[in-house]
Amino acid sequence: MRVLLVEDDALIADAIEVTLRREGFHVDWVADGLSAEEALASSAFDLVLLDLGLPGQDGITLLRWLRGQGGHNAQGKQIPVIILTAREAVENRIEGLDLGADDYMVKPFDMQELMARARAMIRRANGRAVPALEIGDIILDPAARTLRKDNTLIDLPPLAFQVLQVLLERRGRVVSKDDLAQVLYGWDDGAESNTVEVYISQIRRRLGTDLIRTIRGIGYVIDQ
Amino acid sequence: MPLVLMIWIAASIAIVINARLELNASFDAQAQLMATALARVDNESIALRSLDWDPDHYRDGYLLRVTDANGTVLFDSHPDTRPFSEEERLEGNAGTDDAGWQISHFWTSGGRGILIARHENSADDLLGAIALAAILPLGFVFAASVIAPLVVVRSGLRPLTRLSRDLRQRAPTQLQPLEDAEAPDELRPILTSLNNLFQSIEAFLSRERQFVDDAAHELRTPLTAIKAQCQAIDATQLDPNSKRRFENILTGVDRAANLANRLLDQARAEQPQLGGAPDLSRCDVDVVLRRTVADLYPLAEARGRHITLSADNTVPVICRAEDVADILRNLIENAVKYGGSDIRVALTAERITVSDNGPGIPVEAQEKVFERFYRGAETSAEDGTGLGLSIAAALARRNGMQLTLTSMEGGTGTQFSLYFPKGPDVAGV
Repeated sequence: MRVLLVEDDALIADAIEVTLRREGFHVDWVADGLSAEEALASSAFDLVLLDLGLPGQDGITLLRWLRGQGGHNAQGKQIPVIILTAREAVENRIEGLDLGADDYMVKPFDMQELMARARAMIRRANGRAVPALEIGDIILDPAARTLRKDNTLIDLPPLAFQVLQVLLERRGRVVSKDDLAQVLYGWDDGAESNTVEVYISQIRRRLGTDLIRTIRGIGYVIDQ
Repeated sequence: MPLVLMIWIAASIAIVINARLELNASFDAQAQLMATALARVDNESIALRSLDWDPDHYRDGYLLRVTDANGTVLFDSHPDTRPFSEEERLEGNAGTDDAGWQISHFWTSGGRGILIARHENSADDLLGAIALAAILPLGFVFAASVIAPLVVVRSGLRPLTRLSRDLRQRAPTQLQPLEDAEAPDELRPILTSLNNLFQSIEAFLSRERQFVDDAAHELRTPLTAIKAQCQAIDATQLDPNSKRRFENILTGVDRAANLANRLLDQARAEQPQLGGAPDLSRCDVDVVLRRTVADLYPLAEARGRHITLSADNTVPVICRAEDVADILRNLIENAVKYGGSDIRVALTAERITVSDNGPGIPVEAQEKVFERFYRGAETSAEDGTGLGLSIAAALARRNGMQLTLTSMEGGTGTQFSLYFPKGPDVAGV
């Protein structure tokens, strides 16, 4: 896996480079936008880590150029880009994502999280399946839309399946009724968060009452 | 001034005209009397058409009697007035029923007697008539010269009154220029100076904000380098002692990064909403509240706290949802850190309350909790930046809300209340 690291701060770049190498990536490091353009024009990369505050040509300009000329990886897929920035203003974030960045990390970031996201980006770009979500003997496969308990296929209505998937994805975090309703119906419908209870009880009937904990008046959680 | 001058000129003209009319009338009467007397002495009379005759008029003020040598009356302007005695004539004055008379008596060389008597107070009457004619315009001048300046000053001050009212109504963060299109010329320099002042304050504030923004950003870069370098160390190669030191460094870096973030939050929260209201919209506070409580619930549980939420209100409030979420996050995090085992969050039509059953906040500290970098006696730098409540208060102000604290010492806990803006309109700040 070949990663292009575009970062002007030598100390930060050095640390990221060392860690990526240890994780088995091949890393090309450039310190400014024009060198990054050259590198992207001449070789194929699987991932770009892009600092926005670059000297000379800034990161946003580079990103616009990259998405404009349709940079591809060796498999002909669009190269995923993770933005690294010390500016956390929402407008910056939205601008970056609008221009086609795939992810966004605010400095100072956690190196382990950066590695995890880098791996996830590359996996997704290569079209590999989203990993199944597991808890105990329950396995939910989002791609195949299947649910197994004790290796037996369990039939769950689509909306309840979606609720379970969200709760599993955010394991250990309490998801409010409103957020679940939003996932199911979107914002426009003025979703009745009470109907969420219906799907929760459908899940409990099939998988037991212990899996999902109700936080009264607030939401639901699947504990770690 | 021109007004007073005009009134003065008008009054003078009026006085002159009135005095002239009075004098003319008096002279006319004398002329008529003399003409009549001259005619009558020769047994003739005034042809009515030769004179604008007024039979009463000519008697006005003067009495004229002409007698011939035998004492026969040739002319008497006042036949109803009794004849004056020899004595009276010599003395030169006499009193009759209706007036006192000043008498002048002459003998002609032919023996005719000419008696001219003047009303004792005819001069006074004339003077009185003239004075009366003058008093009215003078009174008017006086009244006008008192009222006119009052009116002029009052109306001249009106723009100033309006200006001071406008300035009084401004929030400290409202720095948009004052309207000077309708201002009188005298006020314009002041308005221009004020607007220049506003402009430079605004520039100063935005420089300050930019500085904090840049400073927080610049701080993050070296912190990122330290953290990245620390995490680039292969922890599996470290002995337990070094590993602990290494983790302490990471904790310190995170704390510094957190401080930088909070400084940035503080600077943003105090950002004036230039040009009127901030981008407020109707927001479902119950949804915001549930989500914030949900986010913090695992943290609270990990610390052995129990949060209960009651939300009666589903009426939208005009505010910025992100700001309200930040305020609530600060309050609930505080309750989790410093409060007791039970945290109650309640939403009603007027407010959101976050209460705990912790040790409470001493009275002398209660006023300080909203100050920047204030930390309670029980808390240390490891717990936080000391900026949370000051940020919450600034965010509340910006949304037209009010954040208050009630706390009793001795284990009865602390309650923070976030009051929603009253009415459907929200002030700019």
